[in-house]
Order: sequence, then structure tokens, then C-alpha cells
Amino acid sequence: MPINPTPSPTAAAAPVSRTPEIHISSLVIQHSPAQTDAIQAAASAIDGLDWCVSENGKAVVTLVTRSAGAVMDRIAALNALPGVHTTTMVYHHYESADAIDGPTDGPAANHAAP
Amino acid sequence: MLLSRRDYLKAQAAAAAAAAAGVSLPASAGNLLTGEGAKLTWSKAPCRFCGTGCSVMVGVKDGNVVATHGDVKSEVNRGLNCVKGYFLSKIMYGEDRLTTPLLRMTNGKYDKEGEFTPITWDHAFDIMAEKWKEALKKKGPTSVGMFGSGQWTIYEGYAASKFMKAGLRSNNLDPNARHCMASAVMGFMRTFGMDEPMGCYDDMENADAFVLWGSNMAEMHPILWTRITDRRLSHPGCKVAVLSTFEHRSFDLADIGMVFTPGSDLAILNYIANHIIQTGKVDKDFVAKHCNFKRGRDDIGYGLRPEHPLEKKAKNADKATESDPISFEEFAAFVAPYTLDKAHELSGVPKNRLEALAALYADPTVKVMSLWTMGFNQHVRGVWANNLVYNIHLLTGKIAQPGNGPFSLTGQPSACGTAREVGTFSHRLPADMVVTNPEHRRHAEEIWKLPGGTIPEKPGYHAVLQDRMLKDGKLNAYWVQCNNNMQTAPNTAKETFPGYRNPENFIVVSDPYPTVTALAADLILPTAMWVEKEGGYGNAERRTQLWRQLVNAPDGARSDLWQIVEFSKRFTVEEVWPEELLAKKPELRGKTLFDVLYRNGQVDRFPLSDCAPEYENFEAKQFGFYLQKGLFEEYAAFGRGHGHDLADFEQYHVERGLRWPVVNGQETKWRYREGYDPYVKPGEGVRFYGNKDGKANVFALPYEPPAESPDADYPFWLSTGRVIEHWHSGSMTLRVPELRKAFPNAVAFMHPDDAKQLNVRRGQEVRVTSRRGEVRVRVETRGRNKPPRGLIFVPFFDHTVLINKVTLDATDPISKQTDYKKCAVKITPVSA
Repeated sequence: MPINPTPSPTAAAAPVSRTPEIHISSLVIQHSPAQTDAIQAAASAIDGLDWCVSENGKAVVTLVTRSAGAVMDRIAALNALPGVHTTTMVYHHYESADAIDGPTDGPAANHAAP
Repeated sequence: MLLSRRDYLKAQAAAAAAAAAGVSLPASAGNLLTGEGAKLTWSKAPCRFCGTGCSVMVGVKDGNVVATHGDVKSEVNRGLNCVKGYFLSKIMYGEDRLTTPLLRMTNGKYDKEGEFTPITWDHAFDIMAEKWKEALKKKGPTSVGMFGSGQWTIYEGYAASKFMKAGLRSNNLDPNARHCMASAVMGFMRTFGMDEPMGCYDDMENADAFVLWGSNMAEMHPILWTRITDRRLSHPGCKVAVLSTFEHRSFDLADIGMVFTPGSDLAILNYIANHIIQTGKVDKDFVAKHCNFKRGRDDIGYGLRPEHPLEKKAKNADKATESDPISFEEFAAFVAPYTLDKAHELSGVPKNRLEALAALYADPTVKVMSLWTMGFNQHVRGVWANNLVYNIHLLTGKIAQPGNGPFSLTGQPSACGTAREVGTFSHRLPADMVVTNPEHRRHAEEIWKLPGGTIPEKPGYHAVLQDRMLKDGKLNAYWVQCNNNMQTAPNTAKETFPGYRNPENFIVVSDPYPTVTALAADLILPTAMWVEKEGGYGNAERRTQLWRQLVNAPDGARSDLWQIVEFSKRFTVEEVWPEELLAKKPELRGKTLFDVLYRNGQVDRFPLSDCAPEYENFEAKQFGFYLQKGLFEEYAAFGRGHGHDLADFEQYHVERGLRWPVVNGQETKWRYREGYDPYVKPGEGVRFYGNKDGKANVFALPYEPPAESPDADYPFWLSTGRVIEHWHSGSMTLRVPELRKAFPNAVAFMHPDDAKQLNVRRGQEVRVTSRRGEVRVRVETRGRNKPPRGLIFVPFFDHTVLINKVTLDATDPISKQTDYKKCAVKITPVSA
């Protein structure tokens, strides 16, 4: 089948009628220590964000969102806060919204890593 | 207490982040696990993107990559991931992934003006062989060429080098790393006689001061920036200086921020050298023991076509690499005119900032790490800039020790590991050897078991010259792999596109996606990506990292490695070597290049049973032997014992990479320094053993202006580069919906007062026009990049704003690397 003459890296359409997902991520925020309180207040106001700890300009936050794109938006919002130097992802897990509110299972069997 | 699954996972997430950040959480978070009960198998791989070389854990489920996260065991990134790394799992699954070779045809026959039509791989190699043999017959090996990549795996680069230089006997092999690191390479070679940094990332945890020379690490090496930020926040007195031609995100952390006139970095460097000398801060002992002084040639032109007036005017265009020995006193006299006043006048930087910067270098108690990437390298005097920054570290002895030293950052994931170390350049061989040296050629021919005289001695066409020769009809059969040069070459509409469409030429492009380069070709080959093949990269700190094939490529797509090796079967030696050569090794008569290059008893000596049983290996199964291991071990023979030592192949699959030279299982963090580098003998202290006398060269080189500066007709500087969301030409990242949404189109970052004067509002479209071409782009006056008046910055990831139609194909005459940061444009509003 012939190729379209103009390249079109497609913004892939949002998947049609997928089961709702929950994404759980954690971020490390490096920031000016002097502005810890202000940054904590502003960050905590972000939907889905929990401020876990901050130590000398390094903060750990978790995010619960409905999509990976929403994580991007929140990272942009955090980066825009005065005094924030860097925002970096550490952990990302997602699964269907119904599964996630069930009881916890034990440690997972499959996590091989050479 | 039973946690809900949500809470349990949140606790996991928090624990992972806390571990990565090195902070303690207030309450115990329970076991830290890397698997999440989602039945994934996890394996390590280096990230597909920048030269930082983070390690990621890749989660595979049902034959697809479904998740990645930062590898906590990696010394590079320690569990952290930047935004591009975060979306690695999606880059292979764009909707328009290519799965069949496509040839331009009309009525069932090849037609350069025809429509792309699916064909078989067999048919693709048929026509390629026909075209290659036709070109070789008509004009010889200088008429065939290959443009490869700093994103090729080590195996791909090595296989390509053998295929071109030994098989087809052509040095017309160059990588896109020519556009990115060539100036750094020549800087290393001229100063140290050997390529690649002497320090490593551990310098970041040891430095007292960091100076970013034009690099924007916050966006371009974000994980390294987190390490520098850490140090800045935790080490009392630590200072960060950021220099650029416009203000950007890295300035957030800067204690000394400096915006300088494009090109004046050379003057600032000489001023600092002068300052060090005038204030008596030269480490005289170090200089006497470890340095030579040289006067380099100046007035060397701009790498433009020979008939260009600037080239005709240049006195030393053909002598650009020459130099004469001088004394320290002569060097001091040479830099003496670069006073604070002169540096201020040329750069526009306030004097107190220049002095503060110089003080960092001059103060013997301050350990300084200098960091640069494209600001220095993509520069018409890029080699000079590299030499000059080495000067100030050498004069003060601040080099090759923890926290103290110049660090050339790498852009691409394997510009070091593949392009530079393997030597996939038009003038190079593995392990820093060059085709022009008869001893080097002989050594390569010996390892490769070739008749003497196989490897051609004349350097081939470099990147920009390849485009010119395609346009001029001198290069006729051309294979592009793993880059998007139609979008990334300078002055592309005038100097790149015509060559691809020249009816005398047959152009083959291998890519996973239909990029603008692929669509300008005659034959497109669908390519496997990243963890769809077993691979290896080498990052900026000399860390070689290997990975396994974790998933299959889409049906029909094949790796660059498979393509090169398979294509080699189409040639017999009689078809590509002259009789004189065959007569020297008559046992090779009748053999194919596949036999000679890859079934030579070395590359094929490891059986399939050596492959890792839990992982697939498509190429090995196809060819019947463990190809990647064989290529690696033959390649490693070049460097072992010569300062480029690699460990055994299998060891890299266990470790999170190792920094070469690896001797007796020990990696080297700081080269040239006794106690760290096994090649430096006890008592020597420091030895720059890349040079025969063990000394480094301090170069006297002047300020010279850029090729094209703003004038009355074209009053703006144009600078180009990247943004964090996108990798290079966007062929991968634009296909990730979240990254595309975050930054969908290129903009022209502009000073708001310039916009006002142009009568243009934020978001409005303008024409950016140079003497070469024009694009339309929207203006951004409140973005992350804040240019000074008279300069705009446009990223190059967007094929709909093909900014390289506007740029100038001027290069550093020594490195042949294009200057993408400086040309002159005018800006006019597009009427509503």
C-alpha cells in the first residue's frame, strides 16, 4: 500500500473505550531549600499529589492520575513553581481502575532483573 | 493493617523515590519491589536517547514493552528517569511503523519518480546490489557511500565499518555524530592525542564549581543536572556558572549567569587563560612536567564550498590542522591582548561576571568541572573552543582528578561507544586509528585478515561533503541508516534534498518510521529499534553498556545489523577487489564479502549455544552464529592493551556497564592519573599517554568571528537546538502522544521587545528567512528560553518547521562539523 507523500507522525488517537486506568507515579523534586514551605503548599494543591517528605531541597511526592499525560501536566506545573530546579520521575505503575482498589496481594513473583 | 492496593502501590512509589533521592521517609513503606504483580519480566537496557546513558528497567508483557522505569542499580541515574526516558515503552509503537521494504516504482519497475510500493527483502537487496555494482563499475569506490549514526549499536557501527572500508574499499562512511561530536573529537586528538574524557560523572559529586559553556543540561542532560543540582544544594560554597547566547532553564541554578554574543566564547576563554597567567596562578610545576605549547593556524575559513568568497579569502583553509611549537612565554604574549576590557567588549558580558568566572578557574583551591556540548562543538571554531577550554584546565593543573577537569558531554547515546570508538568516520579506524596512517591500516588489515592494501588511505567524504557530492553527482549509491539527515543537515533544501533527488543517484534509507529522509529516498527499509535487537552503546563517561533483545520487531522489520550483514552476501570479492589484492590472498577467491568479513573464523567463532537462553536473538539465528559477540570480541582486539581496553563481552551483560579502559576487571574512572589509570606507572603522577612524549598540548588560538553575522538585511541571530520533550528530529518522540502534546510544534523563542518592534504578538506566525531559505513559525515570548534582543532560538524537532532550510552549511574546517548555532536571518510577520 502506497505511503502518504507527507510524513505524519500521528498524534495517535486516544484509545477508544478502554477501561479507565489509574496511574501511580513518584517524583523527586530538587528545589531551593529556602522555599520549601511555599513549594510544599503549591504542590499539595495539585490534584492527585501527595507530598511525602522533603529534606534539604529534595522532595518526594506521589501522584495518582488517570493517564500518563496527566503526569506530564503535573510535572510541567511543578517545574513552573518558583524555586523548583528539577522534577524527575522514579516509579510508574498503572492498571485498571477496578483492580487497583482491591486488597493488596503479596510481593509480586515476576520481577526478574539481570 | 491491610493496605488497599492503591495505598500499597503509593507506598512502593514513595519508597522507590526516597531510595533514589537518598532521603528517608517518615514512616516505613514496606518492601521495595521492582515488579508490581502485573506479571511483567524486567530486564536492563540503556536508554535509547541522550549521551547520559541512564539504565532503565524494561518491563515486557505478552511480547510488548509495556513499562520502563529508572534502574536503581545504575550508578548513572540511580533509579531516576527523565521525561523522554519515561516514555521509552511507547517509542516502538507509533501507528505508522514501517514493516515492508518500499521501492519507488511505476508499472512494476523501479522509477525514481514512482510511488513507494511494497517489495520483498530479496528484491530490495537485488536492486541495491545492482545499483552499488553499477556505481562501483562506473566510478569506483568513491561513488558509494553510507551515512550512519551515533545511535547505531556498537555491533552495527563495526559491521558497517568493515563492510565499507574493507569490503567495498570506500572511506565514504560518516556518522551523524559528525554533526554532534566531531569538534570534540578533534579537540581531544589535538590536545591529548587520544579521544574521550579523562574524567567521569563521579566528578559531579566532587566538584566545588561547575561551568556550563553553552550547554543547557537542565533540558539536554537532565539526569546529570539532578546530580549537579544535588551537589550545588548540599556542598557549602559550591558555585554554578552558566554561559549561553540566551537565557535558558539551566540559568535557574546559576550563581553566575552570562549571556554572551555568539562566537565570543573564544575570547572569554582566552581572557581566562590570560587572567590565570597575569595573576600568577599558573601551576608552573604541572605545566613544566606535562604541557607543550603550540601556535595553531588561524584564518582557516568556514568549510564552505571552495568557490565561496570566504573560502577564497582564507589564507590557511588548507592548512587548518597545522601548528608550530612555541614557548610558554610566547603563549603568554599571545593571550595578553585578551584583557577583561576586550572580553567584555566582544561578549557584552558585564565585567564583574567575567571576573567571577575567571576567579573560579584561577583559585587553586576550587575544583572546577567545565561542561559543554553543542555550544562548543557545533561551532565554526569548535575545535579551537575545545582546545581553549583544555588550556585553562592544563595551565592550572585542574585535570584528571576527582571533581576537577574538563568534561565534554556527548549528545547521542553512542557517539562515543559506536561512532568514535569504533571509528565510523570517513578518516577513522577503531581505537582512535586513522586511515591516513599506514601503520594503522596495516594493523587493521592484520586483525581483519585482509590482504595488505585493502583499506583505502585517502579519507572519504564527511557528512556535509557527502551531501555536496550527491548534489554534484559524484556520489551515486548511498545508504542512510538510523538518522534523519534530510531534516537535520544544514541548508538542507539547497544542499541535501537535490542530491537525494538527483536522477544519477540511488538513495536507500533504513528507518522504523516514514521520516522526511525516508520519503526523499528511492528505497526505504523498515528497521528494528532499540530492544527489538541485542545491542550495545557507550555513553559520555566511557561506560559501555550492553542489552539483550527483549521483544521482536514488527513482522518484516529488520535491524540495521542484519541489513548490512545480509547485504554483504551479494558481493563476491572479485566484484569489488582488484586482481592485485586477490593475488595476495588467493584463498579468498570466489568468496563473498559475508565470508571474508563475518565468516572469517573470528566474527563467527561463537556458536548459537553461547546466546542467552532466556532471550531471543534474531540476527544470531539468521546467520547461524552468535554474531554480536563475535563482532564485539574481534573489535575489542583493537583496543585491549592500547588504552581502550574493553572487558569480556559477557561481563557487560552482568554489570550496569563498565568505564574503559577495563584492565584486570577494573574500570578506570580517571584516565592519565596515577592510581586511577593502570596505564600510568607509579611515580609518573600524570601522563597524557595519547601523545608520544606523554604531554598535553596547550594551543594558542585567537578569536575569529562566525561565518555569517547579522547585518542590515538579516538583522537577527538564529540559533537552533533541542527541547527536553523531543529527541533530535522527533521521529520517535513526536509519536508518543504525551510528548507530542507537551510540545507539539516548534516555536521561535524571541525577546518580547523584539516582537513588539516587529509588530508581532505572542503566538503569531512569522517568516524566518535567511539567504538560503525560509520557514514559517509561531513566536513565543514567554517561554523557557529567553533570548536577548537580536537573537531567536528555534528547535529542530518539527518537520513542519524545517528550520534547517534556513541554516548555513558552514563547518569547522578542522572537524567538518556544522555550526547550527549561528547564522543571520530576518523576521517578518505573516499577515493575518
